[in-house]
Amino acid sequence: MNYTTTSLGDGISLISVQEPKFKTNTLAVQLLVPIVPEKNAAYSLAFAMLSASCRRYPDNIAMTVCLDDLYGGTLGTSTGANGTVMTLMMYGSVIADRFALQGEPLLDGMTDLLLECLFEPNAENGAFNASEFAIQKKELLDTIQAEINNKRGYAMTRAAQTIFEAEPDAYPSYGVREDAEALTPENVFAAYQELLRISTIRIYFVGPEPVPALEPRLREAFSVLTDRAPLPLVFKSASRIKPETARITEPMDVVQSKLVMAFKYEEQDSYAVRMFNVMFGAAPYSMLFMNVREKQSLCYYCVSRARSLRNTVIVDSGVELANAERTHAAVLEQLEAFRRGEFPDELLENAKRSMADALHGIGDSPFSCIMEAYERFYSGDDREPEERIRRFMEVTREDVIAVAQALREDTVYLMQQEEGTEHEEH
Amino acid sequence: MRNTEIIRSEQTDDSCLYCKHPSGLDIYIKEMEGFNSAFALFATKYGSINTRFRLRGEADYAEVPEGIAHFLEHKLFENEDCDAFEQYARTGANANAFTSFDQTAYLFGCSEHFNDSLRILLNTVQNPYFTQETVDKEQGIIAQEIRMNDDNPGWRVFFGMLRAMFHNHPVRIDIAGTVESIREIDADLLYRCYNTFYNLHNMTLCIAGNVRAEEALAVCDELLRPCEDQGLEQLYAEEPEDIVTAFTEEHMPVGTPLFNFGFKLRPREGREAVRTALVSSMLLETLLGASSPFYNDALHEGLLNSEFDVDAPFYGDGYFVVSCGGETAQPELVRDRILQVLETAKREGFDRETFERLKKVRYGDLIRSSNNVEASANGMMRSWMRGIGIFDDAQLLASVTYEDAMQLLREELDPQRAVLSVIR
Repeated sequence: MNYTTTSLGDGISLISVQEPKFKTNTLAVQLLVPIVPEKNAAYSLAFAMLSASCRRYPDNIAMTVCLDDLYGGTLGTSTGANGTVMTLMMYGSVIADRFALQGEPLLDGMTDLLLECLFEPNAENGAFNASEFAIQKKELLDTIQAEINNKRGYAMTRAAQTIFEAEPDAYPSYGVREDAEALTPENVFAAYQELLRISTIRIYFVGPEPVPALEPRLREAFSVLTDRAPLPLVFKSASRIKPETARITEPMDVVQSKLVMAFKYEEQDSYAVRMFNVMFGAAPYSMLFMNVREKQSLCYYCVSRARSLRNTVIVDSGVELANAERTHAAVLEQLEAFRRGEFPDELLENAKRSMADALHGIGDSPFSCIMEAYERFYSGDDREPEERIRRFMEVTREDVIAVAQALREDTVYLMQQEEGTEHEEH
Repeated sequence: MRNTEIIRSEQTDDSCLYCKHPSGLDIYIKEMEGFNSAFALFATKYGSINTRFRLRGEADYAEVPEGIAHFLEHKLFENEDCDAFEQYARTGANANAFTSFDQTAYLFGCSEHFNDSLRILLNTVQNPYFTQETVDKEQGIIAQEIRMNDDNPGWRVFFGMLRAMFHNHPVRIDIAGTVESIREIDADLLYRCYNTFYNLHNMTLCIAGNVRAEEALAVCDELLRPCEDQGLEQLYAEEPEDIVTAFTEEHMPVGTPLFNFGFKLRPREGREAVRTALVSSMLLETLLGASSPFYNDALHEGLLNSEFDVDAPFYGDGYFVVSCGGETAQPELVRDRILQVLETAKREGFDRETFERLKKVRYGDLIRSSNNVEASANGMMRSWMRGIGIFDDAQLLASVTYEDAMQLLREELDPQRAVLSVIR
């Protein structure tokens, strides 16, 4: 995948990818700022407002009709975090103009729409439109209230509050109820103006052919931002390791308990960490899958994921309450086995093959192209996939053992099913 | 001799190779220039609803425990020597499987060593190996999968609707069965179901992406074992046209109450089913979707939020359901409003312009999915399952009219066959 990066101003860049195989054109605008937890709700609501309506399409009906006319063009926003950096993205995608049945200029239409959403929002006199704001604020509050619906996700959210206690990413990037309730059309609009000033802005374009008119069009649109002062971004930031493991148990009216375990480590080679993670619990041939699920039949899932920007590995599983302690012990037992080097060489080789396969597959969707360009940016690792594969191939058994030995159990969270909901084991 | 032909779609600028393999298998391969990855699906028309069946020459229908198709899917990942996941680990492919109401599919995605992974796929699915010990071991894992779904309000509210709609049809039963029903499963039953449904005449192989069709077919020639068509017959319990109950409710911890509201339609097959699915989804999208007055009024009143959606029609052998769902504090009021919207539209018609615009949206969706390796393979499998041509969607879409939608609305969206399911 080849991409070009062009500066469009102070902390504003355009990343373009041409892939003749694609039948769509995709534009995404990403704003990056350091996480300030009490601002999460305002920032995420501001972005939600932008894609819900704009001056020309001032409500959901007008916006939907416009997107339908673009052959079901998609326009959306997302909020997330990478390490301690908040990512806000607005993306638009349309089928390539050659598929338009009446020759409509679809990419032009989507570019106009995206820029209007950003620079001509549905606002006046320093405030977002009140009735549209009320809808989006309710959306945010409903999202927060509905966290409990997804028990696995909810367990992770609750566990994160302890895992990253007093750190920027302890709470979801869309914010918490108290902050969301305090939002007004005025303070959210002000938050958006602040975002335009302090964020690093990355614009991604992925399409089948070059579009020479796009760069000047974007350059001109973003030139209205005259008082730019982008804040420095620190993506890599190790989470504090607790001196003693924190243990939290939360009773809930569920029929399956959820166990979340967090492990943290002092700085390690990031390639070795990712390799360890695949071998430990991220692949269906990993030690956790093969032993905790397949051999001991304790659960349907027992998965690890590495948050390498935060030097943290998180394991989660859904278990019977009676088996929670056994599962916890089984995960620790597998970690101990790693520390002693008791794993087959084949496991390391398999993990290398998985990594190589995944890296070779990069760039098969517009989203994959955008994520690849972004990952190279935030990781500070601008190696081509082939070069990264070579780095993975160099990871040794000793490197992986070193990662396992560096892990410290930091937090154990248990969402505990209420008594009487357990079922007989067999 | 293999018979192959190239099937083309001008609308989506697509083509694929079809092969009726001498073994009995239908094979579809779409080579996608410029893509790095490839995706393969090996699927059988066998899902949770296929619980009563017999083969040619058998006098009686066999009846097997609920959840057995899903159980079999889990067990086919093991053969005598080792786990299939371990084999795929040696090629670097990412493998998985799923079971639905009427199909089971085994799949992998990869960007290297495609033919080696294809060998694993074909070998694994064609070489079952179960012992009572391995069956017993799996029961604990699947029991936890069932418990996990029991805590999923979205899953529960959907099955609540199906149970309130269907008296006898097995679509009312959870795909994985129950903790009790899976206890009845043993190795002999698994072999019986395997030998019945995993016959290549009842299966397809769909491949898309960075592949060479000729090489993939050579692997198929080597590994596919010819099957006799066994004359499979299935029996479904008699299902009345009416519903069981118009309202059902369950309680579990949720933020805002969840609901599904749906209609039980007359079951259909083949092209008629696919076309009706298009008509009904465009009709409901016009009346209740993102640009409708119903949805936007409800948004402004705080009655609904953006979680509200018109569901893709849900249909198969003996069932056809159209529904919508979302979150609301007042599900009964939402239902009453929807019924009112439908009654008004039956009398006065509805916005023809929106209906026509949705055709453009659906056309755009087809282009998008043809541009994705995984979606292409899945789309081919879906068309095969439905008994239509691989690229027939675009033609069917073009044939849909406002009049079709009015007819469906007047004849089948009957309030007497509507169900509201709520979790709060």
